[in-house]
Amino acid sequence: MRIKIKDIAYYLPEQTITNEDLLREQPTWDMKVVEERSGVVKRHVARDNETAFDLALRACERLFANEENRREQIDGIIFCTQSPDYVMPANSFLLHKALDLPENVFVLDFNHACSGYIYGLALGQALIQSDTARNILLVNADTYSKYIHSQDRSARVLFGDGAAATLLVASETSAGIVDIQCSTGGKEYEKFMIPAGACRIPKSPATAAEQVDKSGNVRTLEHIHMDGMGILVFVNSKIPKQVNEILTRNQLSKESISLYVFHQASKMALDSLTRLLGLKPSVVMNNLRDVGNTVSASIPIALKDALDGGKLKRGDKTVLCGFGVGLSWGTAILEI
Amino acid sequence: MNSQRISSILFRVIDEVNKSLPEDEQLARASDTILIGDESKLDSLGLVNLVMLAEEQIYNEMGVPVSLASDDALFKKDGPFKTVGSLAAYIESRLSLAPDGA
Repeated sequence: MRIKIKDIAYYLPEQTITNEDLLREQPTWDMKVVEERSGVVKRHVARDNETAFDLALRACERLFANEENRREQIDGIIFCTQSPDYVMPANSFLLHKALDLPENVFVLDFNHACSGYIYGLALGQALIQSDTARNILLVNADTYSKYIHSQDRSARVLFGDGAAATLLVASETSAGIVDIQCSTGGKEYEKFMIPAGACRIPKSPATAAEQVDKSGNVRTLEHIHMDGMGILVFVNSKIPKQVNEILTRNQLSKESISLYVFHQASKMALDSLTRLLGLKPSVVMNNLRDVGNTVSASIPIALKDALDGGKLKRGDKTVLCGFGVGLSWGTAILEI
Repeated sequence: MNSQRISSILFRVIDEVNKSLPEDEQLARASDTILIGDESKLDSLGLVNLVMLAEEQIYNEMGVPVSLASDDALFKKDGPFKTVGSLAAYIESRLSLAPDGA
């Protein structure tokens, strides 16, 4: 039994920050080079009192508006976020309340970042195939803007806030998840992290002290730290290998895939993967320009845009691939 | 592909990288220009930019996709990225091993 994506909806905050806005704020930033390398012109940013949960709720409302009685059929929530409303309880409980769902609903939070959609599909698939749930609401939502120092050019130009809601159900046809591979590189966890603010290094005056790196980026230990070269090495070495392996074990050629939807990390990352995999740019989805890198919501947002834009039709095969914090990475082959 | 051609590509990459560097921090178009470590004029973003540009240029000119950043060991102080000359030699060795894709 295959599990399929029945529908996707997403929500981006109304507040936006463009490259022109950033240049006015930070006149020393070379935004021309930034735009060339990041591929981002505009990113949506949550307001101070707007959380990932708020964005997620709006995405869910859009999902439920697409079909009657959809909300009532939900018997499983998987909420992927690294920006929860509270230390506890988890966001899936808040969503359970907000949606006024009955008691016999399985809810779960997990906090993968950019690989979170693939991992979420794997979890949803397992729950449905084990008959634990039948109509899974997979939510991917983050507000990384709240974790980035205003003077950290390396992160601020890339990331946007956003939420996606996906409805997963059992498929009655060949449409659905063909295969998934999820991978982990825990030894590399320091390449992408927020060092302080949780239990290992609690917040203190010391962790709030600003540090300036060789590139002039300012951050504290309570902000996102990304090892740019380390991440590049990770992407170049792991992702092409995993994509090739999953295609091979399903006896599929690269050319048989209608569209590759990679995590929208940056234009640099997309160009590099396109080149290393020997793909035509026309089969690699890119919606970075006005959305930015929305962490685990980036793949479902890009996939939704691809579906609405006619880039995928029934019977097509697509490869979804996410990679990031952990380090973790995952690839799924779907038949539409 | 001979080393002169690779060096020529890298010098053009340096020209491109220099566009985003201050005038007094420009990289020299020379084989002994240091790319990594405390003596390098490149910060981490600049190094990533240089690597990506080099990969793009090699692909555009040769049609060969090459991954120059596939192992952390490459970025040790005495690794292939130490100077423009050592990087050129590394690229030549990668391309000679797997001409259809390195």
